[in-house]
Amino acid sequence: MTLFFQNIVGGMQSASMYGLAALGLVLIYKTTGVINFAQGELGMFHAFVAAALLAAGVPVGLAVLVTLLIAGAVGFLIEWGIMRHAIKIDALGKMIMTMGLVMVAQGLAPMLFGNNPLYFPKLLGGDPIMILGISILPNTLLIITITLTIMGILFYILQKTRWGLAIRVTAENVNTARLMGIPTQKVSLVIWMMGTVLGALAAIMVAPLTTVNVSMMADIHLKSFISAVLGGFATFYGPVVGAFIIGMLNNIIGFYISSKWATAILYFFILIVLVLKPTGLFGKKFIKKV
Amino acid sequence: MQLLKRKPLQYSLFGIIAIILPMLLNAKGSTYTLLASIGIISIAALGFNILLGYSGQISLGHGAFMGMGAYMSAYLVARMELPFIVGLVMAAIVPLLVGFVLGLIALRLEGHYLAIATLGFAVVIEEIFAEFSDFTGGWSGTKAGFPVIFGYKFSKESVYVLVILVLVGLMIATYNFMKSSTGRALIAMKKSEHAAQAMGVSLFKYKLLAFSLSTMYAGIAGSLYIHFFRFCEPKLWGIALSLDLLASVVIGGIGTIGGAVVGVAFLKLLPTFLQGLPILGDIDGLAFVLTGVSIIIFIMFYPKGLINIPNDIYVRFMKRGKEGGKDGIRVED
Amino acid sequence: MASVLKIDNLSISFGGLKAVDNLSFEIEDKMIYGLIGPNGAGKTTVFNCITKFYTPNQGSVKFKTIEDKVVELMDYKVHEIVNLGLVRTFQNVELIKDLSIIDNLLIGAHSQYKSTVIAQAFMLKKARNEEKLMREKAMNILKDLGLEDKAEEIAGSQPYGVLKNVELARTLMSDPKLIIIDEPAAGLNETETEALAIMIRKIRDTYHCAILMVEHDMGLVMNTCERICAINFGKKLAEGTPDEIKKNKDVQEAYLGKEDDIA
Repeated sequence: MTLFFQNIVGGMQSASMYGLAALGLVLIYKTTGVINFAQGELGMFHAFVAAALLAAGVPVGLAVLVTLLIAGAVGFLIEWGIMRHAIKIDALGKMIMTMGLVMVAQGLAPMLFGNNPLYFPKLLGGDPIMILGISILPNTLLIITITLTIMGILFYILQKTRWGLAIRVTAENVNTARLMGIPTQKVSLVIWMMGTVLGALAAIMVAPLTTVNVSMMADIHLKSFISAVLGGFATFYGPVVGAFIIGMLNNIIGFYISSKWATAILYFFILIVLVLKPTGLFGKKFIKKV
Repeated sequence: MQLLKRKPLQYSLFGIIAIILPMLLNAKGSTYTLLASIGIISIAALGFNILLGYSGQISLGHGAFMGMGAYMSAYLVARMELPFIVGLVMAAIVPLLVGFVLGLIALRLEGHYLAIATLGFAVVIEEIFAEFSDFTGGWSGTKAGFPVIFGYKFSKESVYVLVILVLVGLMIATYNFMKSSTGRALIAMKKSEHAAQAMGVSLFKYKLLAFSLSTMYAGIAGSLYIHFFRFCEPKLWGIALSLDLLASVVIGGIGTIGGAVVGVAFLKLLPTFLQGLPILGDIDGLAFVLTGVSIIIFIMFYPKGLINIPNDIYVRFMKRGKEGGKDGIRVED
Repeated sequence: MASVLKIDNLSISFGGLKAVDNLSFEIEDKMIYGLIGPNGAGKTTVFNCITKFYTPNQGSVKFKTIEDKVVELMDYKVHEIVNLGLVRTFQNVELIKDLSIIDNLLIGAHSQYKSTVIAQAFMLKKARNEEKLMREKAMNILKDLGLEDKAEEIAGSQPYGVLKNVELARTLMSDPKLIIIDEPAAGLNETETEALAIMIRKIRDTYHCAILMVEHDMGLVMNTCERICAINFGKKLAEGTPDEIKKNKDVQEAYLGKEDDIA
């Protein structure tokens, strides 16, 4: 039983990263209608930025902070420089544009930071702590704490503040929101910045666990997508719940069945869920007007 | 002149030039490699364009389907010593069936779930390619020889000819069924789902048809790839290849047959062109960045793609002729 | 069943709003039938329920097919409806603008094509013959409607009035028993509307099918329809001949408001 909980805690760590990335994904999707396939690769790019800052002698905390600011600026540039001018382009076209961004990020990273992987230390060192018989690395605890805190703040903003209301109304219907005087363009600007920062944060958290390399986000990227699919794109919390289910299942399947095939088994599990519930766990069905 | 307006004739002419020109110029082996890779990727891009251009769906798994065709063919021909034709046919059929099953699940859902489902599929298949080493050779890769058909052993140059023949054949076949009731149903589906449904077009059935057909093209391309390059490894068939296919189609011209070829040629020639330049040629990843930027620029400003440039020039300067590219992704006002 | 379409207790609601409420009516073979009602009365919703674009919450829609079999439309999917002999037009004309008019008609014949993708890709004789037959059929229909010289024109380049007729022509490609027309006169001027009335009657007489139309233009409805059903708030107000409808108090109220409202 201890082993089982050990795996749950391990799963919480990956779930945190999936959840952050998935939240970024669904924030952008719901408010702007864009499925951002560049989420993961933009994160990868920012992990390179953080690692390069670190290599240049910047202290860890400052490097992370500067990176998140840069990520915000990149999100700003994408919305202000590109997406804002693409209002007439349909959802499919916008999705293709984000795939263009994937290529840009994958080309820019080696161009600016070289072809070799970079290293990023754990934010918190130290030996595992024992809690109720489960051993947890301080870094794991930190990741889970940071994630839960950030999500708590975000959901508080979404539910309780004026800005949150503006975002929710925009997500419900852009045109109505605009008619009601909500500055929808500002909303989507803020959302792109938030989404990009969340992706960067997920990448910075995963960096110490692998290395900083071009394909470091492949797994998180995919898992955040299937989290969003599992939880449904209809709510902000669905993908986060999906991420925690995926993270824990992944660890449990990896431990009890096969670590090599965990992703494959998980993937087929999601496909089955989708056959039974096409809109995801928290999805809604819409009637389209003819 | 009138005759030249017939597309199948244009495609055949393109094929003849593509075959004869390198012969006349006595092209080097490396030129054949470049041309063959353009031809092979064009076959997959042609299929990708049926999917994107006519059913409005995106796949990030077409690289994986190509890989499936390549391994299938290599296994049957190089390992089981079956004739090349058997390998080629199986390389077409197996991805078709797998694509059919995947589509059966993903296309029931509205929206863009196919892109996500194929993203997952690509990652899982790449793992399978790496792990099933009995079948695929694992990380160390798999080998195959030049094809043999009815006792004739192909050389590098003649495989290239075969590639062009298959490409042109598929271009004509694609053109034919795009002009038939199937093609009209696909066009109707893309332009007005409601009208298509009211006229008896099952959206699910035709999306599934477009997807499985396009995976078949990918499988054929994979088979030709392994029998031209005679070697492949798992990481070749990842999402990057699928993104290349997407980029080719977007840049060449969404929903056009010639656009797929033009786009692939652009994408393949870009790095070669950059390498020839001073300073720029030494920058890593530049071709990748430029491709990504091109995708965004074409979608935003010229969704008709490169293939439509001659037509636009013609219309502008001759002030006549029909409005050409008709498959923009831009929403009509 | 004597009638071609029989609707019983049809209801559908969106959220809490009942868009169609226990509606029943019947259309006889080869009849021109009108469905009228003020804005937002639920007319188009009735259409969308019959053609399965919406799935009603309750009720039954019986239809007599080309083979004289009576089927329950609720058991069919939206794209299967046309095979049974029931075809529709759209309020905003849903044609494929980039294709020629004759190609648009051929889309209307979609469900009649029998040859396979392979036969079409390799242009086998069967596929070629089939295509030729369908083209002839399309040309004949265009001729009947006086559109034959427009066959090769791109649909997007034609005026709205022509497109409305093309959409009607397209419905005929499927050999329908019943054509459902959604606001045919919307966007047309008076002369065009008069021509349309003649066209609708001609279609019925030449192709021996029933026609159900939703229309705002009272002139057109009263002129062409043999029976009319008036609805408001999704409920039936009255049903009868044009004269009966004109005289009906409830209908007058629904259109003009109650007298005390005015006072």
